[in-house]
Order: sequence, then structure tokens, then C-alpha cells
Amino acid sequence: MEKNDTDTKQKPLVNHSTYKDVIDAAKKSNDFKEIRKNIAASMVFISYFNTLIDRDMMQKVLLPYIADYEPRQNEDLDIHTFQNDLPLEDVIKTSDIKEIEDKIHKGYVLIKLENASDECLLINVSNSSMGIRQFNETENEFSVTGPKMGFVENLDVNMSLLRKKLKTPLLVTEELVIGNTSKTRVMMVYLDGITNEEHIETVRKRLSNIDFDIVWDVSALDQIISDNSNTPFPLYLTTERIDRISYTVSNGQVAILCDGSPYAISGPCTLLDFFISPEDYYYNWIIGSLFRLIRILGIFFSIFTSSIYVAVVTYHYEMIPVDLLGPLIKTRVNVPFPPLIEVVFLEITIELLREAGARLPSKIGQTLGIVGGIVIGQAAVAASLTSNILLIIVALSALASFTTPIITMSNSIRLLRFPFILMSALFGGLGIILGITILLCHLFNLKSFGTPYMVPLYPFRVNNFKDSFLRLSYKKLNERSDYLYPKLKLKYSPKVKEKRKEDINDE
Amino acid sequence: MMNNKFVKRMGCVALSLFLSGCIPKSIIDEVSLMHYVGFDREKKMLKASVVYPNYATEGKSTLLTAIAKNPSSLQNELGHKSEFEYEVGQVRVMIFGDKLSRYGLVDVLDTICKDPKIGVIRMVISDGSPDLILKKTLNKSPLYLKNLIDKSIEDEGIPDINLHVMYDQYFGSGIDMSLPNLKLDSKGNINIDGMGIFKGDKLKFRISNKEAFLLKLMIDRNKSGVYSFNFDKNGHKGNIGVRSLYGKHKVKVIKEDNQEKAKMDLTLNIKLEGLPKGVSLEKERDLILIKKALQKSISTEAESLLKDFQANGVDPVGLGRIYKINHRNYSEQNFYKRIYRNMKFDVNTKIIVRQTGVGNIES
Repeated sequence: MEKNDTDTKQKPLVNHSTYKDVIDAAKKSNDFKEIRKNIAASMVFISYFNTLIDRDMMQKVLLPYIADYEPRQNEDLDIHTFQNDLPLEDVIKTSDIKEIEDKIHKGYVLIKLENASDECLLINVSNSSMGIRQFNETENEFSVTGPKMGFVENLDVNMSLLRKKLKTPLLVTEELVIGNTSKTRVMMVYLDGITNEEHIETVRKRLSNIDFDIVWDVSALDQIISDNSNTPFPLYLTTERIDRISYTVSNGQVAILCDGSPYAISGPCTLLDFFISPEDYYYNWIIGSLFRLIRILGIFFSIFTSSIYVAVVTYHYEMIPVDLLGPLIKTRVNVPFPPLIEVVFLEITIELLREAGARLPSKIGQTLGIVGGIVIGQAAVAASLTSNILLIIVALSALASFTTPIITMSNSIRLLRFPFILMSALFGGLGIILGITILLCHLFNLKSFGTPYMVPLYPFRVNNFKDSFLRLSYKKLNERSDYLYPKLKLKYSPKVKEKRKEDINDE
Repeated sequence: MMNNKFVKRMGCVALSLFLSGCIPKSIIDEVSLMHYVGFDREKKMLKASVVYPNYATEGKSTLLTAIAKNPSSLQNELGHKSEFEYEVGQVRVMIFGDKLSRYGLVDVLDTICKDPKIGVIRMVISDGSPDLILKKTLNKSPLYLKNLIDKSIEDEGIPDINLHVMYDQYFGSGIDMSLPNLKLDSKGNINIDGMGIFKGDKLKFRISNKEAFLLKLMIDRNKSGVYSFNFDKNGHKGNIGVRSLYGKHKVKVIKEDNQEKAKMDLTLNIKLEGLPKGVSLEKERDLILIKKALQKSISTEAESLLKDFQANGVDPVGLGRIYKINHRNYSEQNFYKRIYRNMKFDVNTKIIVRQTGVGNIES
């Protein structure tokens, strides 16, 4: 292994040192074009990848301009004046071969004058919106009320969307290029003077330490910079919603966006952050809190119901309420399998349905849901492969796992159910308690960018309960969370309410 | 490369999974669950009758009986007769026959108090053999007997007794056991008929339903039940039934003139329903009349019940326990031999009429 390590650190594959090398290498591709033009008796080479540039701009602005260009006062064609006269904004004059190579692969047009020295002009006519979807409605994190805008695959569009929400000079972006093949632009976003510098420094350090080939998605970064890669839990919030990211950034978290990914990640975050839906803030706080509590209840329901069923039916018959005893025995009596097989069979069926539903086009997906849910479910009961009650339990726990708004967390909950079922089948109620103990030990150990994952439960922070299990009114939510150590705690100061009139008669 | 520590750890986890092979399984449809167990004594042996509900096919419940010399071999005997493993975790009512109750429950209680699977269940005694009562339940719904007892305790004036309360009374000092009594009436219906009062583990005597209600007033927080008394004042005659809704009791053992005295204060909130002819609640005088008569009736009957207990040497109210609170050198033997025998009783009842119903038939 170690020997190979030195081998992989070989010289970079691309090692062009002269202008000619670069052009020759590029010419191997058919979409590379080189045009010669004669301006004021000197030859001009215009070269570019025609798949990367904006054709409109090229043909309507740049080429006509070059064709009509005449140097002033019959001077010789000078690269400096030529650059100043160009009617385009992003023009770079350089002689750095490496930069030239990088830029032509990003949609810049290279202009070289025959008589000039090494210096070339790089003009940005890249077409950044080409092939990018225009439709930016949130697809996975849907909400009934509130804005439905999400991120798209273009970093610049995403940044402008974010800046539209946070119109403050404090919003700072830092750009890095990650990926030795993809050269993906990755952006760190935070509020200068509010976000704690330690967090910014941690993120910056982790990101700049990355050595990777192609950054497929921001989720790849999520996994690489993760504090603990052997955990089923997501340590950073992954979301496609702009309102969600602007909320976390305004709270003092650091967000990471990446070109080509319609998702953004944000950290440091806590376990409870994953059960917050932006919708909680769009409803009245009482209703918002109720929905949040239901969602948190849903997690427990989703993880534990099927394992409790297995434990009770296999070992602890004595704790079944007496009125439930009859129905439970009646439905189970014809089932030939032990409870474990029965539950695993049904759980896997549900997982298959879910997986198939996700892969199929949405129109077929709906039909499949009905066919799978009703037909297979009913048939399994009729063929006494499972009991009626279990069908309800498994379907409900699958339903409950969908209530988690962040999809990565929803997946972890899906997974957690299986070890619990196994433990309950082996050790009964004791197994479930063992599982919970192990799970809690693991959770208490987790860290997100160096801050504890289980705040405000552990370490216990009373102040942070304002926006955890309950979503209190905006009057109370005017402070940033303690665990992020923001440099400015107050977000806004709510006005003191006018004194209430004593009686309706005073009106 | 595999981490050595990791391998060791995973090995421990994997080995511990094999432990699960040692756990006996009792899958719900593969055990014989029973709802009722009756114990009695027959020919100097212990006899058990158990009722299995038949949930799987919704058929009739089955009654099995077995006879053995001790409770442990009784379980084995029953096991021989049932299809699946014999499981006691869902027992809801335990009945002790008259003969066994008089002989002593100690053997049975010792066995069942060691079984953690037995939860909070109702304990009752029966007039005759529990067999006869259990046979009557076979045609009824599986939970008939349990519901019958629960309901009687809930609002028909029977003290709230279950396994835990019974253990407390049996093992605790300064109080004696009392269990509800089941009986078959002349038409063969099961009904609750008073209570059996124990001394130690042996049945001493029985009290009637009315006396059971008075006992409930003195020991239970729940005081709902119906009390009937004869009203005869100012020329108005009649038997009145009043429903007790809620109330409080306070028991004290005090020393008066060198003699221990049990002082009992009862406060009852009642509902008056039927009234004798000519009595009108709109008249303040009549209302006071009824209240006073009721207070007097309850006080005297309670006092005579307490005297009855005293004469029999039993203490289901737990006066010894109350005495113990204020006396450091309390000894159970001493208390019952010297003090309880000569104790005086004083019951004060305060009645508050809460509801009288609507309308009044004036005559």
C-alpha cells in the first residue's frame, strides 16, 4: 500500500509549459476552434471551445467588434489598448500558461496577437446558464405555506438567490476550488462578525484539506469533511430550501454551497435541527409547536413500534392489555412464521415499495404505491403471511418516517429500525433497552464541526429549548443559540406590546 | 488492514448474540394463556381449576382441573393437560375456595408472590368451590368475571382489593387481609356477596355487602356505593337509599382516660334520590332531619362493625398500623392482645348533600 502511495503522487498528468502545448492539446478535441483574423495588418488568433461559450455573445458582440476594430491613429495593434477597448467586462491579460489552460476550459475565449509577446487576452463569454434547469421549485422538501424556492445546479444563481434573502454587507462568501478533475467551485457562506471564527476556521481548514477527484454533489463534501464517518446520522444539515439556509446562516452557522449541486449544507448543527421544518415558522407558534411535537413523536414511533411488536409478541405476552389480547391472537394464529420473520418480511416489502417509488417516474410511482400498499398488503394478510395488526404497525411506522423534513435524517431512521428489530427478536424488551443505550452513547459522542450534536439535551442548555421541541413565538426567538457561540447574540429586539385595554367597552 | 481491537470488540458482540439462544420464547399464539385460576382444597390435596379463553377460534373457554400436593407440581399437572405451555402472565382473577381459605392460603401465596409475570390481578374468595363459579363463566365472554369484580369495586361499595393490596395486608403488620366474596345465587348467577375477613392466612368470618361498604368508607379513597337505611321520624317512615359520591376519612388512635380510642371522621358527599312520602327537601328542616338520621345510622353501624371485628380479633381497617405511627415501642402481638381488645370506637359522620335530582312530587 505504502509503495503505491508514492506512485499515486506522480507528476500531474497535465504538464504543458508553453502556449503551443496548450493549443495542441486542446486541438485534439473537435469542439475546439481557432480563428485567424487580420486586424491592422497583424494576425490575431481567436481560440475557444465552442461548446462552452455563449454563441450569441460571440457572434453578435465579440466577432463583429473584432472585425470592425481599427487601432487609433494608425498605431500598431497593442494588446493593452485592445483590452481596454473591448466592450466586455471580464477580460484578463495574462501570460501564465496554467491560467490560460484553466480558463479556456471554463468558457473563456483566448485571443493572441501574432506580434505581441507571451501575453494573451482571456475574455469571458461563457454560457453559465446553458443546460441548467430554470425550474427552481423545491421538489423534496415541500411545504404547503411559505416560499417554494429552492436551489438549482448553478452556484451563481444560488448565491444571488441567497443574497436576495440576506441583504447585508455582513454576508461573506469564500470561494475554493475542490476536485483535481472537476475543479468544482465551492463556496463557504457566513455572516462576518456574527458567526464564531472558530467555526469558520474549522470549515475552511476541512475544505482546503480535501483531496478528491470529482465533487459530484455537495453531499460528497458532507461525507469527506464529516467529524465521524462511521455514523448513520447526518452531521450537517442538507437542504435545498433557500429559506432554510438563510435561517441557519443568520443563526451563525456556516453554509457550504457547491457548483452543480442543488443542495447546500450547513453546520455545526444538532440532532433536533433535522426535525425542524421551515413551515413551523410560517404557522402560528402554537400550531407550529404541535406539528413539531408530532414529528418528533413520529421518529420514536417509526423506530420503535415494529421492534416493540416483536418483543411483546415473542417474549412479553403478559404486558399486553387484556382487551388487545383477543384481536392480537386471532390475527397471528394462522401466520406460519415467528414474529421476527413476519416483521422483516413486511418491513422489506415496504422498503422495496419506497425504493421502487423513488426510481420510477412520478406518474407510475403513484400507481405503484396503490398497487403495492393496498393489493400486496391485503394479499399478504389474506394469505396469512402477516397479521393484520402488524400490517397497520409497519405501514404507520413507514408513514411516520416520512414526516422527517430532511431526507438524510429520514434515511437514517429507516435504517435504525432494523437493528432494533433484530435486538428485540434476540433479547426482547432487554434488547430494545440495550439498543437504546448503545444509540444514546453513540449520539452523545457525535460532533458536528467540533460542537456537540445533542445540544440542548447534552450538554444541557436551557436557553436553547426555545426552538427545539417547541417553536416559541417570534418575541422569544430573538436570540441566537448559545451552542454556536455567536459573536452577536441578539437578532432583533421585539417591541414591548402596548398596554392592553381593560375591557372591550373601552374601544 | 483489520484493526485488532475492532475485531476483538466485534467478536464480543457476536458472541453475546449467541446468548439469546438461552432465552425461552413464549410466542403469543403458542402459549396457553389463562384468565382465571381457582384454588381449593380437596381430600387434603391442593386442587386448581383454570379457565383458558379460546381467542384463536372464538370458541368457548375451557376449564381444566388438576390435583396435586403442592403448588409447583400443580403447575406440572396442568401442563400435562394443556396443548401449549402453561402461562400465568395473563391471569386476571384468582379465586380461593372456602375450604382452602379456612385451611390457610400460605402455600399458594408463597408461590404466586415469587412469579414476576403475575401482574395486578383481582383476588377473591368464594362461598363454595371455585369450580362451580368458573363453570358458569365458560359461556360468557372471556373477561366476564374480571369485569364483574372491577365494576363492583368501582362503584358498588366493595373495597378495592388486588394482589398488591393483598400482599400489603398479608405481610404488613397491624392490618389483616380482607377479600371480596363470590357466590352463586339460587338461579345460578355469579354475584358478589360481601367480604371475607382473614386473620393471618386463614378466613375468620364473612361480612355482608352493607358491611363491606362501611369497611370501604373506612379504608378506601373511592367511596362510591349505595347505603340504605330506615328513616322513621316525625311520622315519616320509609327506607331510603343514598348514593355516596365522594368523601374523606380520617382515622386516629388517641388516648382518652387511660384508654385507647379509635376516632374516625367520615365526610361523605351524597346524592339523595328517593324520599319517603311527605318529606320535602325544599324545607330546610326536613333536609337536616334526613342528614342527622343518616349520620347517626352510619356512625352506629360502623361502630358496631368495628366492635364485630374487635370481638373476632381481626383488624382489616389497619388500626394497628395507625397506632404504630405514634408509638415507638409498638409490637404487633402486644397491640392485639392488650390494646385492641379494650379499644373504644367513636365514628363521627358528616353528610353533605350534593345532589337531589330535579323535581319533587308533593303530596
